[in-house]
Amino acid sequence: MSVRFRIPPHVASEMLGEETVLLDTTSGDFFALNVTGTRAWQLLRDGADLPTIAARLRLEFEVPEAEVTADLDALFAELGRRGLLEREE
Amino acid sequence: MPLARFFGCLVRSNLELWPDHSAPAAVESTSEPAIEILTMTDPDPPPIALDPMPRVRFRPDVATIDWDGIGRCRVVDGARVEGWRTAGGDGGRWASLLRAIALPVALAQRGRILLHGSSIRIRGATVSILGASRMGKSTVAAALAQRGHTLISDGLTVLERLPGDRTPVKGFLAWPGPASYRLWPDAIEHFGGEPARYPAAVSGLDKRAVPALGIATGPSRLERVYVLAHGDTERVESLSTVAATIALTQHAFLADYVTAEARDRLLGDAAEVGGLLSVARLERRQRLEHLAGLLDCVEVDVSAPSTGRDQRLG
Repeated sequence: MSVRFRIPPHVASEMLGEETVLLDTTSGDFFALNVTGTRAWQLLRDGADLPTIAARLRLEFEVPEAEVTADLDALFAELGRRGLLEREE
Repeated sequence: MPLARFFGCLVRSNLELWPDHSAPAAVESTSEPAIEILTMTDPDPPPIALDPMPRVRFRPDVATIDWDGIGRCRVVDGARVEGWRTAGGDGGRWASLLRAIALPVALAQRGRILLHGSSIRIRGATVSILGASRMGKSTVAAALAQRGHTLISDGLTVLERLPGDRTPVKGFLAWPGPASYRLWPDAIEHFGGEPARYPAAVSGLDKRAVPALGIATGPSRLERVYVLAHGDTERVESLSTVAATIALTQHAFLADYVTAEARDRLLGDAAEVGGLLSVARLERRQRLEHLAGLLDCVEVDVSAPSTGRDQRLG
């Protein structure tokens, strides 16, 4: 079963060149994404599931699968912990 | 009813909004005001939320502002402010609500970007100095003006987008505000004045409205933004676009007042400004004896060539 995440309505984002700023509009907290995080966020916003995002990043950034998976797991866990991302069951 | 020009907009109000010295210049005009403020006598305001400070529910068409115990406003299409004062509420705070929040909300509805800071023209370059309360925005602006630079506005910076040929926005015009500073008594004494001579700028605070001797007569293009911060010395440190956008969102004029739903708009505005202009952290020691060094620091930085984001990002 594919794992999907969704961006909660209280999260605003702005892409700035290759980086992105996320704002939790409820708490006023900010979070910045680097270039790969930004690409993952874009794909997520377009509705891609986790395996699709991992595959695209592997292709576009020429990074080994294990590394992409670990980085994405860590990023999405951090975003989830901060309330910037929700897992869809 | 008297007309006044407020950040480039003609305003008519049926209530005296500004304390002595700080009023925008009254103007005579045959044209219709851009913004009209009407304090309603109809005792039928919508219910007031229990907020300890003004709370703005911002929408581009109709915004509402509640301040528990003071009153409620509705701002419509950037053109009309309707206000209901709470019976027995503080009249000074009521006027503050109208001039310092409702009018800026109307300007935001008209597409202006509002920043919490002062703006000043230094050797031909217009800069904004932002910062949290008590960081010294007004003091720095007044001290720079004392050195012969031209005040644009104090406490609130109002920006109008300049449309570009190939891009949606190529820059921002900073509009002149009322010709006055809002200074704490220690700053007034630092400049050789007597605080007691000046009226309260905000009801309930010891800040005073001090007239500015000169002010810009028209808008000018904003070139740089400084964000005041505590430091061990006086220095300027350039911010990345991401850091600039975060700082500008934090120092949006309405950041402390708007409800969560409107904060994405503040982030969008900040990204526009931070993406185009040089934004720097301006560190300072807080004591007034270090003020001259801070001003030197700004004057030197302004004289250096600008590295606007538009050039950096191509």
